[in-house]
Amino acid sequence: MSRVFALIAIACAAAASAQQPELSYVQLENGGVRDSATADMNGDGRSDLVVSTGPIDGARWLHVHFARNATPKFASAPDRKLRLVRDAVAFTVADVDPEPGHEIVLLSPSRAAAVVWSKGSTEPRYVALARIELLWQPADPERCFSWQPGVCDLNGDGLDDLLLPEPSGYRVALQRRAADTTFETTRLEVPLDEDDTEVARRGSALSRTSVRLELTLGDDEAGPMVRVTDGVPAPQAIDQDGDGRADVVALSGTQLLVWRQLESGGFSAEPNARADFGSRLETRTQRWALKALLRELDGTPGAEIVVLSTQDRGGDVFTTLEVFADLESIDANKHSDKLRLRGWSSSPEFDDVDADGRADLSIGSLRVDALAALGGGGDKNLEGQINLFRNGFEGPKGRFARPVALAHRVQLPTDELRGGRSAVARFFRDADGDGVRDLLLAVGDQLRLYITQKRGRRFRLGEPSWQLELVDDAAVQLDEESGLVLVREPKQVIVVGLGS
Amino acid sequence: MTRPSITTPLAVLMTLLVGAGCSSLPEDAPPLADMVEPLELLRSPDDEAQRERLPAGGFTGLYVADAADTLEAALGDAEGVEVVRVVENGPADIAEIQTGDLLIQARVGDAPATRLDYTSQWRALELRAKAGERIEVVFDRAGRRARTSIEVQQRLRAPERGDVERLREEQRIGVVVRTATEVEARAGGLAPGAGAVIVGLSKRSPLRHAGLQFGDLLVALGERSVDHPQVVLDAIRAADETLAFTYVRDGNRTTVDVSMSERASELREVWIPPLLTYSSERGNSSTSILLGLFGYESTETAWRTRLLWLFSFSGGDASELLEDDE
Repeated sequence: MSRVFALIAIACAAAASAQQPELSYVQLENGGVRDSATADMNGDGRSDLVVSTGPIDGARWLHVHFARNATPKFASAPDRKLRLVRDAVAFTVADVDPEPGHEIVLLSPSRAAAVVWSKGSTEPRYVALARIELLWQPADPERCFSWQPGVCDLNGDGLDDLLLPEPSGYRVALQRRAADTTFETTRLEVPLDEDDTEVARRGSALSRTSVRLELTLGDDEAGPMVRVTDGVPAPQAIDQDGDGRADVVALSGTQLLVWRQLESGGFSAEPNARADFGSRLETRTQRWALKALLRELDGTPGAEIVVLSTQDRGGDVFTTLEVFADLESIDANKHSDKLRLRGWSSSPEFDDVDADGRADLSIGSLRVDALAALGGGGDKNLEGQINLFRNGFEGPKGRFARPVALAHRVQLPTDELRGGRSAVARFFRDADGDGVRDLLLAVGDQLRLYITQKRGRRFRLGEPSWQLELVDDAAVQLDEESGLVLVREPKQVIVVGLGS
Repeated sequence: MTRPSITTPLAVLMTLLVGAGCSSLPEDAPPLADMVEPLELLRSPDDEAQRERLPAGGFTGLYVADAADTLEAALGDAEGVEVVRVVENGPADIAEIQTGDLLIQARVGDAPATRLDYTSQWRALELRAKAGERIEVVFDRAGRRARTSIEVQQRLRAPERGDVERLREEQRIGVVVRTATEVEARAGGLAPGAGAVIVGLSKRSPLRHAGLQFGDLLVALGERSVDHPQVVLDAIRAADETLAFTYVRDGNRTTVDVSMSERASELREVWIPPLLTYSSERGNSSTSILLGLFGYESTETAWRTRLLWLFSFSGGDASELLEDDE
């Protein structure tokens, strides 16, 4: 019943303000929703919705819902249905065929293949793309998951390429389109590193056999109290050396490995540049976690390297975020910016919040003393904080201005942290059209939109301008390209359309 | 007052012309309208009691499935049968076969190796092998080939009943087949999962002219044994002008040569505005002359004629049968 009231409230609110998000409900009674993705599937320029279902009539399905020029934007009845083959492990959406729009790309343990619907045909045809040895196998009979980080335009020709994780390496498949579409594949080898054994034993850093970062807090004997699992789009495809060509960058153990794109447009099997973080971390004696991201921050050629390291020195936990211009700066220990946060922090997000053309930093933090509450009998909520630092504000580009431009406290339910449900905090879109991105916050059972207001040199958040009740097991997915927010519930996907 | 423009009717005419040429052509043929599928053949016969009395053969502790439902198969590169279950501590488990492995080829003792494409081929080996014999297996695990040897044990009871599939061929023969039951297959000298029983035929199917009937068990097409009903479809699609069908009826094995047919074609649309438009689809047709000065439409049960946009006559089947004169 409370859900009904919430919907009525949302409907009333939507009528009262033109800035309210537009909602579509795509319901699925049978099978259940397992995963979702968005892309223009029919070539009409609008982002369509792809839903991965659980078993229906003994098979998993992908449902494609075309975006309509109507309200609601998506209808519950799918426009296309694809019965998945038994060994499909994951899917992604990419433009890998001359037919209009994107295609579904299925990944099995040994093949990547596109599913193409030709105009006028109701039956799809399968097109082989590449032979692979996918990291994840075998297929889960209950779900086929979305792996969108595997699609990128590596060689800048406007065509989607594939970058897929394999055991001890990655598979690059570059698309060439002439009369036919072909994929030229290269395997990138991650060199063996003795430190990895140590890393794997500690279980607290990025393992080469996984593309997820998992760090655990709490007593080892009793098992972890908090487990933070963070999907890392590893490896990354970005121009690291500033030559105008995208490179492949991956973190392995304590090493940042770079496969620089050759002038010919290909890649060598072995990494041709690297940086070692080993000396920066007391890996032998302390609990630690390490993350490296590459982002363009200062407007100069070549992405900056953002290194996030968290260390626990006998209960004194702090997180350090350092920015380096290039690999040599890491070795020389010459950072261009450095921030230190007490306690544990979330994965940093880089969005141009103030619309000045530079990516600003938002990062969440959690106080260490609050962790005691997780031991049982403590508070129901922990206090976290979302911090926003503006890039190059009254200072050099690529440097995050201090003091913090915005600090917003949030209550994190301890049950949620124990259950492994991930909170979402992102300055995602400008919902009210004032030129400043607004905060979308999914914590506990609420998804809320906070309008960011400018107050002189700083920002502040008012009361939530919109909110949506989240059921148990709901997952919130933000799609950067389409600007759509997908709230994935067990029996439906709620598509939320925000502003620009 | 604005002057009447000649461009408006021209634009309308051009839109009509372009619209006529832009409708996309279907890539899939319509289903055959004259396919006959008797209701009594819709279900497989209930012969479970008979099946349990059949000799059970050897036991390997492996459950396999056709690789037909894999991405490789969808791409036309299917190879091997997939291990979907391994009985704990069974012969295959001891031989370190794992779920997800693809069995590529196998042989019993010194017999020639059998390439494995369908589950019936593995079941044939199990039926042939005696307790204590070894089946040498080449398998694929995540793209890497390996060999192992499985020591066969005596099977104590019949394995689970297999799934039934119905497959249609509507381009050259017009036939619907289903998987034969184990009793039907073994009566025809085939392993469980092999053979295809005819359960549907087009009224114009060349199989009718060649003497085949509903319920006949197809056991071979040309040189290929029907190890799975899919073999029937593949063989028909690949055939030139004739194809030899070997079938079993009442225990008798017969081979006949069948001439392949093809889809009849029909005129579906004529578009010569403003003189004539004509369209026809699945028994419904429509004709218009001089922008509807004369129009005629018909379905399988009714017709209508229009004259000078105002007058119309229509008719069709009535709600009663004709009286019998006698």
